[in-house]
Amino acid sequence: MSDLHVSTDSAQFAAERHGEIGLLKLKGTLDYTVRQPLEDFLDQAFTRCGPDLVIDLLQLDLLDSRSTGLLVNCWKRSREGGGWLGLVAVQRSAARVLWITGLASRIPVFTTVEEALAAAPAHQ
Amino acid sequence: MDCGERGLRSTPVVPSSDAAGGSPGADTGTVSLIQAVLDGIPAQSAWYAPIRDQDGRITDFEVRAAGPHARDVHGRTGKELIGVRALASYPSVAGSSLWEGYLRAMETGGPEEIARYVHVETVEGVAHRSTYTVTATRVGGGLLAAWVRDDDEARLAARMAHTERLGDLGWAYWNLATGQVEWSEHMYAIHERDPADGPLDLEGYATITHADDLPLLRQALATITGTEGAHEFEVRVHTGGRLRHLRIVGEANRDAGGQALEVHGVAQDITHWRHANDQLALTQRRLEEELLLTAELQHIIMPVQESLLTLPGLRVGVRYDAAQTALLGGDWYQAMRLSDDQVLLAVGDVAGSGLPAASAMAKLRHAITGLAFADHDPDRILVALNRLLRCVRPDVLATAVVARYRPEDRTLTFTHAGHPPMLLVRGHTVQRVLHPGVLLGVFDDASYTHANIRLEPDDMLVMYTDGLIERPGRDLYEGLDILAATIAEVVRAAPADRLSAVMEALVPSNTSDDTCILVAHVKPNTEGVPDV
Repeated sequence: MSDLHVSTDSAQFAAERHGEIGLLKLKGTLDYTVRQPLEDFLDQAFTRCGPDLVIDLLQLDLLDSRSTGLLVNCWKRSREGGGWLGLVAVQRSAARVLWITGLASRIPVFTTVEEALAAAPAHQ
Repeated sequence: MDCGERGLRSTPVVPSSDAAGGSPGADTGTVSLIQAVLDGIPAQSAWYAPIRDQDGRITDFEVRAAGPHARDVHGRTGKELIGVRALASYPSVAGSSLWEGYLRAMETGGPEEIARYVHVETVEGVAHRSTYTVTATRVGGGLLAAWVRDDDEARLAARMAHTERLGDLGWAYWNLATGQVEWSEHMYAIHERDPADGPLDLEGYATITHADDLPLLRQALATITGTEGAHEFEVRVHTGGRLRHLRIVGEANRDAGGQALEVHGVAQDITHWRHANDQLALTQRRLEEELLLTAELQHIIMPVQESLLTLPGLRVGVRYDAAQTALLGGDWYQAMRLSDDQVLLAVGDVAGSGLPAASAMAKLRHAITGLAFADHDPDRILVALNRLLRCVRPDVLATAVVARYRPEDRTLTFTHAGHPPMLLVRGHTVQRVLHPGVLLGVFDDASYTHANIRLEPDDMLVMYTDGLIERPGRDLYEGLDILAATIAEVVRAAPADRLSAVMEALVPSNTSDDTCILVAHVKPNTEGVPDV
C-alpha cells in the first residue's frame, strides 16, 4: 500500500503504515482554511490504515479549535472502531490547546513517535 | 504615375482601322477623360488599351486608366494598376471566358457580361481562387471593364447570417415617408414568420405585441423618431403560439431639417436570458425570505438585547454576531438572575453551524438554565450537560464556560469545559482566568471541578467564543494576547462607562465563524461586602 500525502498552501499531511499501526504526520498551520482537506485526509487515512493510529503533531505551527475538534472526532471514531489512538505532542507548543481543553488528560499523549508506536496495543 | 507614364511611352500601339477612335493609347485626351469618369464611379473599373501584333490581332490589354476602387488579386489598387498588362500579369486569363469576352466586346462594342469568371492565381506558391463577374464594353477604342468580386459579397452575406443566428439578432428597416419595411432573414426567424409573407409594418407589429407592452412600443417609437441617438427597449411579442422577449435598439436617420426619414432597428431574442433572470430573481427573493426567517429563528432561540442587563450586583452586556456564511450558529450565552439572588453567567460554543449546531445549542442553553435553578454549581452543571450531549447528540462537540456569581461576597464560582480563558479586567490590568476541564460531548464519564475567585468593585469579566480571537494563521493565544492588549488600552483611557467602552472595542476577528461576547461589570458601589 502506497503512502498518502496531501499538501495545502500552509499545511502538509502524510500517512504511512508501521505494521498494524497507521502513523499520521500533520505539519504546518491547521486553521479553518484547511479544515476540509484535513477532514478528507483523516477519512482516507482511516480507510487505508484502520483504527489503530498514532498522530504526530510535533511539527505543527498552529492548531485551532476546529482542527482540535477533528482530532477529537478521530479519537472517537478510533474508539468506536475498536482501535487505539495516541497523539505525539509536547505541552509548550502549538498543540498546547490539548492541555487547555483537558484532552491531554483523556487521550494518550507521548513526547516521541517511537514511544507512541511502542505503546500501541496492536504493537504488543 | 511613373509606372503609367513609362507604360504609355514604351508600349507600341499599332493603329487599327477597325478600332473606332483610331489610336487610343496615344490619345492622352481620351485617357484623361476616361480616367476622370472612372474616378467618379464607385465601382471596380479599369480601361484597357488593346495591344496588337503586326497583323492587327489583339495580343494583350494594358491598363491606361483605373477607378479608385479597382483592386486586383495581388492587392494593387486604383492607379497602381496603370501599365499592368492582362496576360502578362495574369497568365491564367489566356484562353479563358474572360479573354474571349474581352475580344468579343472589342469586336461588337459590347457590353459583354462574363458571369462568375473563376480566376486562379498562384501567389507565393499558394493558389488563390476568386470569382468575378465582369462587364466589358468597347469605349474610345479601348476596353472598359467593371467587375465585382462575387465571393466577397457571398462571404459578407454568410458572415451576416452567422452573426444574426449566433446572436439571435434580426435587422429591420422602416421608411417613414413611404412606409416601406425590410426585414433580414433572421428577423423572420425570430418572429417565426415566413419570408414569403413579407415583413410586418408598424400596425402589423402592434397586433403581435403583448397588450401590456403596446404603450411602451408606441412610447419607444416616439422616442426614436423624436430624439437623437439610439434608443433601446424591451417588448414581448406573440410568435408561433408563444411569447418571446425581444430587446430592440433603434435609431432614426434624419434630413437636414432634423426630420426623421427612416428607422433602422436591431432586435435580439432574449427570451431564454429573461427566463433565467426571472428564475434567479425568484430564487433570490426566496433566499432573502429564508434569511429573514433564519434570523428570526435565531432570535427566538437566543434573544440578544442591545441594552445592558441589570442583574444583582452586576451590569451585563451581551452580543451575538452571526457568521457571514451562516446565520444559524452554535454559539450561545446565558446571563440571568437565579431564585436566590445569585447570577448565572455562561458562554458556550457548539462546533459547526446551521440547523444541527443551532438545535444542539438550544438544548444546551435550555438545560443549563434548568440546572442552574436547581441550585447546582458549575461543575455539576457541566457533568449533566456532557451526559445530555452524549445521550441525545453524540455527534456534537461543544465547549462552555459556566459561572455562578454571589453578589453578597462578590464570589465567582466557575468551570471551563474545553473553553478558552475568561479575561478579568481589574483597574488597568487584564489577566486570564482559567479552570480547565475537558470538552463536552466526547467522554461518557467526564467530570469537572470548580474554582472560586473574589471579584472587586468595578472589575469586569469577559467571556467570549473563539470567533472573537481566532483567525486563519493566528493561534488562539496570540489572539487572546491581542484582545487583552486592546481591552487594557480601552480602560487606561478611563472611559466614563467602562462596560460600554469595552463592549464597543470587542470586534470579531473571524467573520466566517459566529461570535458570542458577554461582559459582566461588578457594580462599583456594592455595599456590605467585607474587605478580604
